[in-house]
Amino acid sequence: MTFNWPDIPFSGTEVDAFVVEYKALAQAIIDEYEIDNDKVIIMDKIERYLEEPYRDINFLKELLEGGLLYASFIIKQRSGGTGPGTDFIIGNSPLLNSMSSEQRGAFMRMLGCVFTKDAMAAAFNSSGNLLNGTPRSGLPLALIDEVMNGSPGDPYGNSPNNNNQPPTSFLEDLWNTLIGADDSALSDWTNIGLIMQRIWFSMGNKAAGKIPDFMDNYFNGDGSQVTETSFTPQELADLKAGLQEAFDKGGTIRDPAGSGTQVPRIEQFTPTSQQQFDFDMQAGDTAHIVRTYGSSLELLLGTTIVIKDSSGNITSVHDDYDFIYGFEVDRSDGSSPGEPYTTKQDGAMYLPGWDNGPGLNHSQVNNEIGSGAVEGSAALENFGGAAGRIGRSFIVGGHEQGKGTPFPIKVRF
Amino acid sequence: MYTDRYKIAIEGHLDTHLETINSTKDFISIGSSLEAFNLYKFSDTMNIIPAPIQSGAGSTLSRFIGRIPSPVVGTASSHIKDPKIGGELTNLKAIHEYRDSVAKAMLISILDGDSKRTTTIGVGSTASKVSVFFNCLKKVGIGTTDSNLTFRDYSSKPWNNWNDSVGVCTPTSISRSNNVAIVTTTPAHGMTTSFDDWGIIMNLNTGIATSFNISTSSYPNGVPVTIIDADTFSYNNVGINTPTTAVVGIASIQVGWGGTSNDLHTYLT
Repeated sequence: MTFNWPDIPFSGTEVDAFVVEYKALAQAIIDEYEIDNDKVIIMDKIERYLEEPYRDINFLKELLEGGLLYASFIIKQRSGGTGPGTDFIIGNSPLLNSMSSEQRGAFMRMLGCVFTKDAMAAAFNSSGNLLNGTPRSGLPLALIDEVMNGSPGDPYGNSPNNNNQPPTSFLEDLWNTLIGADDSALSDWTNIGLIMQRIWFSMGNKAAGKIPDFMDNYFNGDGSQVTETSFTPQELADLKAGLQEAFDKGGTIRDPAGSGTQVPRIEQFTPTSQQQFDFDMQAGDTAHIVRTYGSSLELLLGTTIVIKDSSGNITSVHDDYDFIYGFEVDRSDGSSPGEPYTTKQDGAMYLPGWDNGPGLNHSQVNNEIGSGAVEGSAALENFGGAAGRIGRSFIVGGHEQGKGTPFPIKVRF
Repeated sequence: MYTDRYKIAIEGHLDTHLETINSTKDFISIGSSLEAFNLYKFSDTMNIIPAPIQSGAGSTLSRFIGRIPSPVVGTASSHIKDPKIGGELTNLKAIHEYRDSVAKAMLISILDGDSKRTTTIGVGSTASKVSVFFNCLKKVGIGTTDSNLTFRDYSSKPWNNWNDSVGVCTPTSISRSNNVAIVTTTPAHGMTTSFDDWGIIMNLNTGIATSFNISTSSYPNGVPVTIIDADTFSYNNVGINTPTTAVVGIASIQVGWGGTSNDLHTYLT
């Protein structure tokens, strides 16, 4: 193993001798480790006795290299000009007129380098991190909290994790999502809740990670049909797996349409002739209503239609991306879900007959979907309601402002 | 001001970060060009206890930014992990402390006696110095009756002499303001201003005075002091503001690595 020693930018009798001795001792230390087939075999005494940071030969080598300069500097400071330890001049640093800690802090603040949580959040929002000209409220503070969690100086006092448990991937996923997120597609409804939602789902199912894109399409799109070409191969695979997950779960769930009764999660039905044509069904194929609540696709598809071939393989999914608490596609003309449409209408919750009443206003709808009714209750069964409720509140708010254009989804695997 | 003699390049210097790390201050000035300033010193200027492994939030961040752990193969342990899983950002402090520990171990191994205030290279063999080096980085043993369980050799450097007292003084009054304690001694404490590596272990006897005491389990070589004059010194001590109070007790005078004289100022551009 060859050391990459740093240059020592000072010399003298004592420091020169020390550097020579340091390098020789470092080599002798490294020789205590045995190298075999390019793998570090740690001697029993080293492994058992040493603190963990110093057991890895490669890392120890880096530390030895990194420690030489400062150790030599100490010797240089001690040696002075007349002998070791006899003329220890306080302040004999290379930069005699350096600022004090207080002066340096004041100077940094004057430069705008203020390392407080609020100041860093303000800096985060000050330039390139705006979203459509608007600060990303809450995001930087949440990020700072996550970064600081368990680290030295954690404002909440969480201790570093020394329990040898493998680290979670949450923070990594968070950063990856931020780096990879296309803000132009996230529109003005995006907030930390939805970003978290995206992370949350994308960790387990890439298809569910398309929720922000779908919601952006709902708010800003023209209602065009979304097909398999809008998905990556991995997203398609995860979409299919998510649908199969619902089939595998089976059983019953609380009716997401609000009847208060239990309904089958999977319900086979006989399609009309028009539907058989629209669904590209072949002989032996079967059509199923799939209620994805309580599965990974819950907030992406809700209730949808899935076609299986005669062998039981999922071949396609057909859905309208609309909301009973937003706008819905009007299929009263006999057209099939997933096919292009001509008319949208207010969601069912706003219409007479909902819950045997005259229909709800926006405030009532928000209360309904936030208090465990309808889809909210289904969401609470598995994924927790916060992210879903946040997303739904945007849909309701959009409807209140007349925003929202449903679009059909037709994906063939 | 920024002559070459100040441009001391530290290998891997870019692992600095814009945060106060104990007594280490870094900052970057962005004007017509990028300039990075750093003040490097031991994060613990009194003690020699090796920094243990640290993990936490920074571990995932370190993987995110590409500092992938290198493989470590052990022969018996099931939980060896890469020490670099500390993270470049939030756990840079850990890397700093690991490097401190190794630098201290090298100084102790190479230098004569207790390694304090000297530049003289010890006369021992290389093998003995290697042994001292490893002794510096060993964990605390969990027993003393079975040789297999005795990790550190407390009869050898650094554990046999590093925490030795170099004298005592007699505090007669003490006060505390903004978490800084000021001690007056009678007679003079005897710590000369020719050195800035002094430390103190306070051991006062009664009442509120005991809140000024220094635990040797936490600070076996005491805490650093600032000399005010021949009869007075101060040290950081968290507690309520306390007016000057007469006290009875004793204080052990210790020696550590050094204060501002060991501040390594660096400048990169």
